[in-house]
Amino acid sequence: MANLLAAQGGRPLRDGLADLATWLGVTLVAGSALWVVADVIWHGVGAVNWGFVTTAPQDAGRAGGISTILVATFLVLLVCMTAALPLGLGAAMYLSEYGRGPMGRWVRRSLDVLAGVPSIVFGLFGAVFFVQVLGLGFSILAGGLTLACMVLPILIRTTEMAFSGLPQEYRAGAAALGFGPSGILLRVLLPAAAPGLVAGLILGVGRALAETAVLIFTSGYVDRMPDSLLDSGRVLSLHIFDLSMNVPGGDHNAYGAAVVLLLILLVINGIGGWLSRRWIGRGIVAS
Amino acid sequence: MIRLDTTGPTPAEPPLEGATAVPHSHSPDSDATVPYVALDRVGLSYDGTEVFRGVSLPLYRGAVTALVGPSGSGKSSLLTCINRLYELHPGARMSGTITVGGEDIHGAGADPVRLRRRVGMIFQKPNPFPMSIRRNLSLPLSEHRLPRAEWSARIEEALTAAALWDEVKDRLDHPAQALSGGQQQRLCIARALILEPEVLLLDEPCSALDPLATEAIEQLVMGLKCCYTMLMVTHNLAQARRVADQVGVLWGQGQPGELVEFGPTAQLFDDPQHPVTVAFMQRERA
Ligand SMILES: Nc1ncnc2c1ncn2[C@@H]1O[C@H](COP(=O)(O)OP(=O)(O)O)[C@@H](O)[C@H]1O
Ligand SMILES: [Mg+2]
Repeated sequence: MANLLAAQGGRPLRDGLADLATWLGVTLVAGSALWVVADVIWHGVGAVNWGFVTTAPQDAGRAGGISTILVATFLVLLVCMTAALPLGLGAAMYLSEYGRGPMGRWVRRSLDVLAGVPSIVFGLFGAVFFVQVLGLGFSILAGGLTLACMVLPILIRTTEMAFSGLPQEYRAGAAALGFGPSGILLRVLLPAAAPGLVAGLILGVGRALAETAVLIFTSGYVDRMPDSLLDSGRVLSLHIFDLSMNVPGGDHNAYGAAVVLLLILLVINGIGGWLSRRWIGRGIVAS
Repeated sequence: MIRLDTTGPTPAEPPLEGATAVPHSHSPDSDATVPYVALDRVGLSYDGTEVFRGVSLPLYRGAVTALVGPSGSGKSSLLTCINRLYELHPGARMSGTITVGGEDIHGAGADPVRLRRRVGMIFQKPNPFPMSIRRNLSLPLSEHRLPRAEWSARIEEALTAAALWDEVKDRLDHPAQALSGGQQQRLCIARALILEPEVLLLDEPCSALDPLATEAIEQLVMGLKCCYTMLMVTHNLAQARRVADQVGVLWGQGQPGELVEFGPTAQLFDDPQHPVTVAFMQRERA
C-alpha cells in the first residue's frame, strides 16, 4: 500500500519531466528547421523575381539568374527518376513478394550498406563507371545515373515497406477471386500501396535535389545552358555551394537560389500530397 | 446472369426429416441427389503438421451446409482446400480428393484460376480492396478479361444480388472502406458473385458484424440458397440452425480435426449422436 502511494506520488514529477523533455525535443527540432527556412527566406527573398529564374547566370553567378541551372537540375532529376523508378519498384516488389529467403536477406543487407555509403563515394564510383568506363563524359546523363544509384536504396526500402505493410487479406482476397500473381501485385497491391510509394518518391527526389558531392564528379560544374543529356550542367544545390564558398560577393544570389530550391521542394511535397488525395478522391486509394 | 431467386429472400426451410442429408433443391436443372461438391477423405497439413484428416462431405446445390466446431479445429483450412487457396502457403499439403461439378480440382487440366472463378469465398473479416466500390467490382472483371461493355450492368446486378445496390448506387466512386462493416461484407459477397460462381465458401462471415448486419447477411445467404452450393463456417450454433440445411461438426482438440458428425440440421440439433457433438452443443448453449 505504501509502495503504491509512493509510486503515485512520484508519478506527477516523472510525468512532468517526460513532458518537458518531449516538448523541448519537439521545439528544438521544429525551431531549428524554422530558423533555417526563415534565415534563407529573410536573406534570399529579395533576390528572387521572374528575371532571376529566367536569365542565365553572369559573372560566375554573382549577377544574372539561374535559368540554366534550373534546366540542368530538372534534366538530372529526370534522368535519375527515369532510371531509379522502374528499377526501384521492381526490386521492391521482388523483395516484398519473394524476399523471405537467403537471397532476399542478402539483397536487403546490401541495400542497407549502400544507403549508408557517403555520397562522395557514389560520386567517385560514377566518375569512374559512368563517366569513363561507359564513356558518358561529364554529362547530365552520367550525373543522373549516378544519382539514381544513390537514391535507389531509400527508394527500394520505402517502397518495400509500403508493400509489406499491406494487410495479408488483400492478397488472399484477390487470390480467391482467381487473380494470378501478377494480377494481385499490379492490380491490387500496387494501387493499395500508392500513398506509400509517393512518400518514398518524395524522399528520393528530396535527397537527389540536395545532392552536391555526387554531381561535382559526374555532371560537372559548367553553368551554361546544357544542349543535350550528354552535355555537362550544374545543378541548383551545387550552384548554391559554389556561390557561397568560392565566389566572393555571391551570397546574395546563393540565398536567392536557396529560396528557389526550398520552393521546389515545397511544390514537390504539395504535388505528392495532392496525388495521394486525388487517388483517394477517385476512390482508387482509401485514406 | 447472376442466378437469383426472384421471390427474394425465403424464410428458413422447415427442418428436414429423415436420416438422409439430401435437401430439396429449388433449381430445376440440378440433380439434388448428387452432391455438387464432394470431399472424399480430405486432409491438410501445414509443414508436416496435420490440421484435419479424413473429412468426407457432400455439398448439394440449393443447400447451405454449416460447418461448426471449436476454433483451431481446421474449419477455415478446410474451406481453403475447396478453392485451392491453401496453395498460397508453401508448406501446405492436401490429401484426398475434392470434386466440383464432377471435376477433380487437382485433375489433369484443372487450374486454380478457373476453379476460383467457380468457387467464390467470403472471409471472416470483410476485406474490400482499398479502392472505390465500383473498382472493387470491376477489378475481377478486368482481371478475367470480361468485356468492358458489360461491366456496369454486371456491377449493378451483383450489388443487387448482394442487397447493397440501393445503399450505394449514388456513391459507387466512394472508397469501399468508408462503408460500414456489414456493407463491406455484402460488397465482398457482391465481388464474389460478380464472377458468377457456382459454389460459395463463407468463413464465419458474420463474426465481425453487429446483430443487425448479421441478420442482413443471413437473409442474403438464405436468398442465395436457391442457386448456389454453399458451405458456411460459423461459430454461432443458432445461426447454423436458422440458415443451414445440413451441419457438420469438425472436432480436434490437440490432435488433427475430424468430422465427428454430419447430418441434416434438425437431426443434429435434436438428436446428436456423437458424445463430442452433445458436449459441444451443451457448451455453446451455456
Ligand atoms: N498458414 C498456416 N501455417 C501453419 N499453420 C496454420 C496455418 N493456418 C492455420 N494453421 C493452423 O491450423 C490450425 C487450424 O486453423 P484454422 O483452419 O484457422 O482453424 P479454425 O478456422 O477452425 O479456427 C490451427 O492450429 C492453426 O494454427
Ligand atoms: Mg477460422
